[in-house]
Order: sequence, then C-alpha cells, then structure tokens
Amino acid sequence: MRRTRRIAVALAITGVSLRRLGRDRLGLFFILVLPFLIILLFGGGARSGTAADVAVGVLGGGDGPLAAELAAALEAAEGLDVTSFGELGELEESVRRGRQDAGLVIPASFDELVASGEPAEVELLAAPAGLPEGSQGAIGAAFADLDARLTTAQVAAETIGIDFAEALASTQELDVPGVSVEAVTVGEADTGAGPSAAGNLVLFIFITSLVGGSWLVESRRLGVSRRMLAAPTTAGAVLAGEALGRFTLAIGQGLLVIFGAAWLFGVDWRDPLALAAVVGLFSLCGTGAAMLFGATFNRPEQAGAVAPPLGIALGMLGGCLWPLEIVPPFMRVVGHAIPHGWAMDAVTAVVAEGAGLADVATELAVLAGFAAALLTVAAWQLRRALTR
Amino acid sequence: MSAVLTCTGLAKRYGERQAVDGVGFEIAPGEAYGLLGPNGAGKTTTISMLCGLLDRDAGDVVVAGRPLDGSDPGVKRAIGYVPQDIALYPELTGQENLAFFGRLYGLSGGKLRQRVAAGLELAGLTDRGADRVDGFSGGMKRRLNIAAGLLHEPRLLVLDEPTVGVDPQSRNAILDSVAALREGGTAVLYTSHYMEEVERLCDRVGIIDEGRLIAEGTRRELVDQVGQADRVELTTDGDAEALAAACRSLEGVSDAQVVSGGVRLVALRGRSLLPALVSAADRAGAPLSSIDVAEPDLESVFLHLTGKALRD
Repeated sequence: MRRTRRIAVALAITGVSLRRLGRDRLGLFFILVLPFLIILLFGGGARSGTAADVAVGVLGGGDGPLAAELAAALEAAEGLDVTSFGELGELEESVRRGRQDAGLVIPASFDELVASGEPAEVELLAAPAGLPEGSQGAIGAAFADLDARLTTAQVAAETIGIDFAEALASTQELDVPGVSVEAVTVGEADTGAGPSAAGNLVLFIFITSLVGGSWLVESRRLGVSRRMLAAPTTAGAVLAGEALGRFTLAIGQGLLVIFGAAWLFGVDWRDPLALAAVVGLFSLCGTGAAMLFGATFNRPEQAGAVAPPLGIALGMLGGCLWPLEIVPPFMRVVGHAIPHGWAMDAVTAVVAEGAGLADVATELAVLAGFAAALLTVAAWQLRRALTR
Repeated sequence: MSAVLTCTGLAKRYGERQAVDGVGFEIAPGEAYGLLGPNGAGKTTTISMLCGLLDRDAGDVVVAGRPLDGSDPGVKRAIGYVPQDIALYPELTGQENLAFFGRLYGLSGGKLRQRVAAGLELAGLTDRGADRVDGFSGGMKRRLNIAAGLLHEPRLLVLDEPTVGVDPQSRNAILDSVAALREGGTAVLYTSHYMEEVERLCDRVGIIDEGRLIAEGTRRELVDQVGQADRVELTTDGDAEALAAACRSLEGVSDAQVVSGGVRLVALRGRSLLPALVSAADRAGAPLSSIDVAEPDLESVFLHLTGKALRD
C-alpha cells in the first residue's frame, strides 16, 4: 500500500513537470523546433561537403597545350566546380575562407617541365579543416589521362631511345583502350543528414535535460519542493518523481529527434534495439545531470541562462557538432571524460555502420556507469538542498 | 482534551549557530497558538522540524498522538503546511495547483474534485479556478496558498507568516478564514512578526528569540508576567511643564515627560488614574484637550524581555 502511495506521488510529480513544459513556449521551441532546424542547416552543410560538387580554384599552368589540356580535363571532370584564379594570394584567401574547397597551383612553366621529362609538381591547397571527403580522388582522376600519356612517353623514350618530347607528341594520336570505372548507385542516396541527426540526438537530449533541471531550481525557489516533502510521503518518492519527470523529458526529446529525422530527412537509424539502449542510458545521464544542476543552482534565471550554453559546450567537447576524429588526441580524451563522447561513438556506430547491441556493449557499459554516478550524487545533493 | 501537537526540547544547530534551542509547547484542538518573534528568531526552523521538513538535532514531536520520527510518513497527513513563500506553480491554473497538492495527500477521483472546489471557494476563487496563477494578485495567491494546505482537512494547520506582503483587505480575509477554521476545531500554529495579527487570532502566544522560547501564555498572562504599566498621553494648550510636575506628584505614576503638545507618562492601571489626572491638570492651570491610554501589548512585552523591538 505504502509503495503504491509512493508511486502515485512520484507519478503526480512527473505529471506536473510535463504539464509545466506544455505551458513553456520557449521550452517547447527548444524541444520541438530547434533540433530540426539544426539538422536542416548542418545536414545541408554535410551534403555540400561531399565529393559531389567540390569547388576547386585553379591557378597557373601557362599557355602551353599540356596546361590547356589539363585545364580542360579539370573542367570536364565529374563533380568538380572549377574556377580560375590569377593571383596565389587570392586563391589562398578563398580556400582559407571556405569559398573554395581546394586550390590547385600548377607551375607557370608546366609544359616546359613536362616536355623536358622533369617531374612537374602541382600543389593542392586545403583549408585547415582538411579536404572534403573524396575530393582528392576526383581531382586525381582529372590528371589520370595526362599521367598515363606521360608514363607511356617515358617508357617509349627509354626503351626505343627516342626523344621524350617526340614520344609525348606521338601519344596524342594513340587510342589506347583503357579500363573505365562506372559508378552505379545502390539504394537511396544519403541525404547527408544522418551524422547531423546523430549529433543532434545526443546534443538535444542533454540540453533538454539541463533545461528541465532549471525548472527544478524554480520549484525549489518557489518552495514547492519543500511543500512536497511536507506531504505524507518520503523524500525518496519526491526525488523519484522529479527524476522520472526529467527522464521522460529526455526520452521524449530523443524519440522526437529519432522519428522526426527519419520522417523529415529520411535518416535510417538502423538497429532499433541498440539505438534504444544508447538513448535510454544517455537519457539517464541527462536526468542525473539535470537533478545535479537543479540541486546546485539557487536562482532559476541563472540556471536557465547557463543550461543551453553549457549543453552546447559539452556537445562540442563530446563530438556532437563535429567528429572527434578530427580533433587533437587530448581533446578526444576530454570528449570521453563526459558521457557525450561515448554516446556519440555508440550512435555513430549504430547509424553509420549498422552496429548492434553487442558491438556497442563497451559504450553502453560506460554510459551506465556515468548514469549511476550522476544519479547517486544528484539524489544526495538534491535531498541535502531540500532538507537543510 | 488531548493535544493535537506536542513538541518538546526541539533543537537545531547550523554550524556555530544554535538556530533552535530547547523549544517545546502544546496545541489543543480548536486552539490557535501564535509563535511570535523577529526575523531570524527561529520560527521557520521550528515549523520545519514540526512538519518533518528538517531533521532535528534533538527533541520529540507528536502529532495527533503519533510520533513524527520519519518512520511513518503517514503522520504528516494530520498536518496542513502553509509555507511563508507562495509555493504554487505560476504557470498552472489554481485548479491544477490544488489538484496536484491534493494528489500528494492521497486524494483522487470525486473526493479530489470536491476538495479542490471547496479549496477554491475558501480562497474566494471559484470563478478564477481555471486561470493561471501568474495572473493572480498577491492576495489571491496568498489565499490559494492557504487553501492548498487545507485540501486534506488536516487536524493541525501550520501557517508560516501567511500575510507577508498582502493588502489589508486580503489580510483580514485570511485572518477571518483561519479564525473560522479554529472555531471548527482545527488546531492552528501561526507564526508572524506582526504582533497585531497574533493578538487578534491566537489564544496563546509563545515568544521566541534567538532560538529560545522566552515566554508563553495568553496575552493577559504575558502582560501580567512582565508587569507592564499603561502608557498615558495627555495633550494640553496650557503649561505642559506644570502639568508634568502635577502628574509626577500622583501615586502610581512612575514617569512623566513633556513631549510636543503635552505630557507622556507611565502609570500602573492608567485608566483608574484618569479622574486624578484631570483634577491635577486643572490645578496646574493646564486643562486637558485629550487623553489617550495605551494598554501594554505584546510589543512592549517583547521589548521588556529582550531589550529590542519585534521588528528589529
């Protein structure tokens, strides 16, 4: 009977938390709209970063026929959007600012160098964030014909003993049956929203949890939490109700991102069981953090102002906004000192590689540890805050 | 009749500060007990321990015959707690707030609906029950705050400074409601630093200062206990100095000072001295234009006991 009473109290507290959410327009915007806006923005960014339309700036090459041939090959190459530049500084600036994905600096004496049989070095400029995936291959493919003719001419010059320039000129008349590779798309094209949706899933579960934590600060400040303790129930039931409210909020946010991203952006989340386990455990981490947050701050406006930026900062550290693979090793360690890094590893493995429960067991175990530690400390701290 | 609340030897320490030190009292059914003291005297800490909100360092609390020791949270069903803060969710309606607190006390279904309706009626908010609390005036919120503590019909109602920051009209309404509950048999523990409220509402008063209960009794008992004399204010158009000298010669007058427009004196049983004062004024050639006799009040008692004013 007593247990039933405690459950009823916990459910009443959970229900009132969710009812309050329904009255908070800003909170609803954060939960219902913002994640999809970000997926739309960053998902679109991911699409433009694929090798499908790599913007390449080209400088130099001179007026020789080989340079012209190379320029024509680049123009004709599939997936490259070529722009000519007259100054090196202009090209470097454009690449640095991201207006061009890459820059090609062809020596002005390109024809002379090639004709003499000397190696001709073409410099490929990349922004600090690196080249877009697959772009180097697309650029290399444009050089393939000329490279094959240079190799043929080199072999002819050395084996027959004729002049390299003469041999190179004669390769223009050759019609060599080559090996061509035809790309065939299997299945539906990736919209590019998958990685962004995965990052936002983790990011927003945590931000929403922290925002829920700031409501707890308000309950404490209003004295409602103390009033709950005056009722014929235990502190444990009150804490359980508050925790269940935050957990429901976190899970709800997770489900919304999962189903919303699948419906709006066609994201395939792959293994539902593995995904559910990751989302469930990470939501528990968010719940613990929310309770700790709610027990630590004393002013709701202070907590409300800190929650979103703190959530975003932790998301950045944990790899929600960019992959941890591109950050320095020590930042990878920092990212895994918080639950986000492990959650991102697991969600990415599930979504990108189709990993199952067993494949992400380590990540799940670590998330469970984080959740247990956070919930224990938070319950102790909150009980102390309410009864001291 | 057995007491609804009995507490003995309550103590609570925060670090070096002894917030409550050996406080104990009883409240009978239908009795209103006022706990009077300045801010920081230990009133809220005492109440928190009585309601099971705060672990106590020492002492016992028995409510409706059952000990409040944490082993049986059901004891708290006999207590209705009305905190000093307006402990309501501002974004919920009055009805939703009451329903939530009712559920915490085990009410559900038709009983809950009935008690919520009764609570709104008590607060005078029947026609505003569906409105959000953040649209209410301060007085409406205060009344709803009290109604939330009464939903489960407690035997002991604990009110912690329930009229702070409300207009005189709402204050009167609140005091009338509490008086009606007391008449209906509910035991009331009322804390305030407003002496007038405690004097008007409470049958007995405990004066608390620096965590200790320094005096307890009915208003009359407290006044007699400290032997306070009446304060008499005389105004005259004549010679105030001569009037003061004439008053000092009367038996029972302990002091007479010239103040602006007259004389202020302290006298035992000031009312019985009135004829003698009028005669003395005539003899001194300073006919009186007004006389004001102020009986000693709890403020004077507190001043006498602690050497400081209640609202310090």
